Amino acid sequence: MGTVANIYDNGPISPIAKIKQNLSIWSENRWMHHRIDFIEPIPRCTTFTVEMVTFSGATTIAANGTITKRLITFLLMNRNELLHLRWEPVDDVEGRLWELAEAARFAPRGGHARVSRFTALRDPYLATTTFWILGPNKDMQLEVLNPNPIALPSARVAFWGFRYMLSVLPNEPSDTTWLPAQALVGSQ
Amino acid sequence: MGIRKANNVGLVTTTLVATGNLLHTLPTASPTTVIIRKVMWYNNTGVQQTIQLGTWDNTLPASLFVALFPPFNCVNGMDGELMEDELPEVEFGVDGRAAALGRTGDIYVLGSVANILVRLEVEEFREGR
Repeated sequence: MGTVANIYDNGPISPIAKIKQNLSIWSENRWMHHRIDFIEPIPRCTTFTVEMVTFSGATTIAANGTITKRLITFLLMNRNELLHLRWEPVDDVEGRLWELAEAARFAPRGGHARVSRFTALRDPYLATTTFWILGPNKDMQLEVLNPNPIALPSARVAFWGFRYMLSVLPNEPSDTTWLPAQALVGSQ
Repeated sequence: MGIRKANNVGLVTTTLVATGNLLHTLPTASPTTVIIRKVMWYNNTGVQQTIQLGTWDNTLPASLFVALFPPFNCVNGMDGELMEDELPEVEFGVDGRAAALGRTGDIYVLGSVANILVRLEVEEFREGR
C-alpha cells in the first residue's frame, strides 16, 4: 500500500516522489497510474512570473478592480507531464486560481480563497498554494484582484516548483504514491 | 504581521486646510487597519512649522480632522524623520458607522502651513495581526 503524497507539508516545496517511483494521480474521476521518469525543478524567476496588467493588455489594474481570469500560457504542459507548483503575488494584489476555467481551486462551498502577500506571513512556505497541472487541456487560469483604493501599475504573480516527466502504467502498481490532485477534471 | 508599503497617495505637499491632506486611504475590499512605521518630511517654507497626523471623524462634520499624534516640529530648511522605534503603534481603522458617524481610518496630515513635503511608510493589516 503506497502513501498519500505529502503535498501540503509546511516546508519548502520538494518532489512528492523520486525518479523511477510510481505515482498514481486522481484525475478524470479515476486513478491514473504512472512512473516518474524525470524531475526538473522550476526555480522562482522572472520567466515564470506573470505581470497580469501587461498580460491582459491593460495599463493599470483599477482601484478595487479585477483582471478577469485568463490562461497563463507559460504553464502549458505536454502529454505525460505533471507540473507541481506554488505561487504568490509579488505586488499587493490577490490571486484566485481556476482549473479549466470552470473549477475554482481552493474553494470550499462558502467561498473562493485568494492568495495574497499576507498568505506567506502565516504560511511561510506557501504550502497551501500548492496546485497541479497534468498534461495538456487541464490548464489553470488566474484571476487577479486589487484590494487597494488606488490603481496599481503592476500585478505580478510568481510561480515555482517541479516538472515531472511520466510514463503511463497500464495497471495499478503494487507500490505507488497516491496523489489526490483534486480539481484535475476534463479530458486529456 | 502586515505588509509594508509607502502611503498610497504618494508624496504629499501640505495645503493650509482645516481638514488636512490625505496621505493614505484604507482598502475597502477587506477590513484593513494601518500602523504608521516611518514619517519623513521636508520644510522649505522659510519658517519653523509643525505637522500633525490624524484621521477624519464624521462626528466632526465641519472640521473632520482629528489628530492622533502630537505635532511634529519641522525645522525650517531641514528634513526630519521618525522611525518605527520612535512612533507609537497607533492603529488606524474604520469605524463601521463611518458613513454617518465615526472615523474613516484614512491617514491625514494637518500642516501649520502649506508646502511641507510629507511621506510615510505604513504597515497594513488585512488578515489579522
